Amino acid sequence: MKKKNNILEIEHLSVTYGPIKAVKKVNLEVNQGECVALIGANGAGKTSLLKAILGIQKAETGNIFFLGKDITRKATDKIVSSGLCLIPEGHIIFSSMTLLENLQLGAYHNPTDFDENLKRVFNYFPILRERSGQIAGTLSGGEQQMLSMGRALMSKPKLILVDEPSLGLAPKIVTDIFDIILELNREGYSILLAEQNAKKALESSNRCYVMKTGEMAISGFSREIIDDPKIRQAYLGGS
Amino acid sequence: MSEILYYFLGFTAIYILMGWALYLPYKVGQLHFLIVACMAVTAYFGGFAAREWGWPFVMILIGGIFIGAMISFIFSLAIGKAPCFTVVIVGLTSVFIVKTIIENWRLLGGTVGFFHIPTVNNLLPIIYIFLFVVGFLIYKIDHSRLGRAASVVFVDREVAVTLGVDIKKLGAFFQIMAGAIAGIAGILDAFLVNSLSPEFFTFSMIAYLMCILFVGGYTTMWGVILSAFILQGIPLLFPSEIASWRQVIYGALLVLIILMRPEGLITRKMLWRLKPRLSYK
Amino acid sequence: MEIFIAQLISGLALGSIYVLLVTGFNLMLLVAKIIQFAYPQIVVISMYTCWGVLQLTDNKFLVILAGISISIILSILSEPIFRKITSTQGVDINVSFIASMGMAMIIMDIMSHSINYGFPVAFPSEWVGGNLLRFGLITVSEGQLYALIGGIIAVLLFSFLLYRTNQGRFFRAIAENRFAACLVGIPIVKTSIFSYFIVGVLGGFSAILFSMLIGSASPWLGEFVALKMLAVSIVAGLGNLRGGLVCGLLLGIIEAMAVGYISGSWSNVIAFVVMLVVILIKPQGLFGSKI
Repeated sequence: MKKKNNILEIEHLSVTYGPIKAVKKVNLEVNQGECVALIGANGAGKTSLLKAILGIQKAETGNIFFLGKDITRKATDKIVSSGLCLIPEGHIIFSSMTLLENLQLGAYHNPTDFDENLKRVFNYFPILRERSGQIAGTLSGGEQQMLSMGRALMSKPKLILVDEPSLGLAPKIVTDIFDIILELNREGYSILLAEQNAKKALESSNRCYVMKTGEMAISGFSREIIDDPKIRQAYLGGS
Repeated sequence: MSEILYYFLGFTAIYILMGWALYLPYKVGQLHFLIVACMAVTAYFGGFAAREWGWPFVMILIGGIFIGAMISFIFSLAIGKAPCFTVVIVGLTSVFIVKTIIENWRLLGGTVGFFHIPTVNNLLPIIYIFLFVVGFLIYKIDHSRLGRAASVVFVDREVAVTLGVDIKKLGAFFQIMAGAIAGIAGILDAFLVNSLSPEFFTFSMIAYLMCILFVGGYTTMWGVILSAFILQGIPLLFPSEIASWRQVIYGALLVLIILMRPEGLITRKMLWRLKPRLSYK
Repeated sequence: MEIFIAQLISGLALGSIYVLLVTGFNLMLLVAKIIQFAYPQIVVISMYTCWGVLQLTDNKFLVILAGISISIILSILSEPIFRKITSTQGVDINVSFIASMGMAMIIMDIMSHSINYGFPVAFPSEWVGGNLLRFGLITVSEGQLYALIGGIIAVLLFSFLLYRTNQGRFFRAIAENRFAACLVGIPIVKTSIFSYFIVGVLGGFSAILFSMLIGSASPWLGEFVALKMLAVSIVAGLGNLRGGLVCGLLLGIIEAMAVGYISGSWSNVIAFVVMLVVILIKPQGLFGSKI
């Protein structure tokens, strides 16, 4: 048995919804300190893959290893406890609760150093500090996405899964968000980033995997993939 | 014919009718308990009209159908497309209100009961004629556009709307039909036993009807027939000590059937295998 | 004027009980996503348990413990049934209604048969607190005072739980968006079970206050109270806790006023007719549905 010293290792993972095979025998790994991009068109299977990692979607076949331990059949809250968290697509927050309460929810799995974590989150997103007593539903789209990310950070995760962070946001805010992702990576967080916006994803990551209709088409270092015109043509639709 | 058999056949038919009355609105997902209130009103109307005003049976029947349908119609203006829970509460509340009114109205016998309803000749054959007529009507509805529209609404209301189904009108249609059938059942019940009591039209009847519908199978009209015969018949075979725990048995049956076989005893799959034309999925 | 004040207090006391019942019911709706039709029956059987234990001992503390325990036990026992239902068919509220109706039937019939041969039971007067206390114009029975104060304490404690504790935040998160709550790592099953536990506690507490207020229990009490509770929850708006608070108290007051100025059983009818009219005019409830 190969010694697993990476953060995340996925082997032969398949996810099916009834007759539909959303993910077909996919292999993927994320090493400590890396930012790995997962690119593909809508429906390629990225979100299903992320859901399977988190235990929300059952894996038909294959295994998922996190920090060397098999988490394939584990319950979602145990997985989150062990240091893996998801920033879901569509800036999911709890709009009936205040901003602070949303952050408190994130801290549940890591209650120690609450104040320190809170301070750090506010450093990344100063606008959240200003509005901490506000009801989350009144925030703008970009602010909600920041809140969603802040909540994930409250638990001091070892691996952050980010699903389509740019979806539905204005270009300026998209740039801000990706800057933050780069910043987080620089600070040592390992990140797995699922994105349709191939350009932004490749610019922010070390390595990347490209998914097409459920299968892993190509993988490699982001810089090489950006520069290779053939790959750009085939998988990334030019530009 | 022995008395036991007479009442067994009579009551089973009436409960089949009421089961169908519950079945129809549930095709669009509504548990229309108002039918028990309709049944109570028409039963007392029938008994009263026969005893006090001497109306002929046919007129009473027509009156009963009309009253049942009218009550349902008036309510359907408000709850035609209401969610199931609302329909349930409206039904339960109305049953309670009707029961209390009857209990406090000396003219109707109050809590003591209403007696000496004149008998009708050949009642049992008449009941079964109605059973077949109503059954035929329901069969036709099931296999029509209305039936198919109903199944879509049951699964997903929004999709149904996009397909052009007018949910309020459909819901109202089923509710009114159910009210009319309950009206018939009420009249027949009054003449079957020749007496009435407000104790009969209560929560226990609603619970019993729920059992009939869900144990038999709520997706088709045949389940009601099967479970009415079983649930009416089995207590006759058991000694009375067990029979007095009827409610517990019905309750347990309801919970068990939901857990183990949610579609009921007679499922669509079963019918499809037996004879494709009976089912329609 | 004295009648008015007396009925007002009576109405508020009764209303407190309704508020506790509706709150428990709403909690099940919001967190466990089920309709617990049998909840009032569980409350009545807790009342019977209190009565039973009172026959054996005078220790009030034991009685209270017994009442609350049976309510918790029954509530938690029903959890696996509902979990099986909601997991196989998604979160379908109507199916839970049918199952809980079956449970209600079982509990009600057991009460009709085995406890005191189905006759109502009366609580001893030391328990009920029939003493009248006077505060100027106002005359209050001990039972009413307990119901009022108990209700206020329960609502305050519950609000504290809901708004200031982690578990309470989980409840509200699940109530708003179950899927998102799961994504964020909230333990759904554990929190769900905890909500059944809290509902059990609320139910037992309501049973004790109710028995002190009316001094008796009967098998068909559940039927009555169930209908009122359900009607209040719709009139207020399904899942709306604040609405439930206001409407529960309102119902108590309307009922008490009807009893004070019109005769007995018509007061029930009036309460129901009023609620029926409100439901028909505004099916979403006065304060808006939250589910």
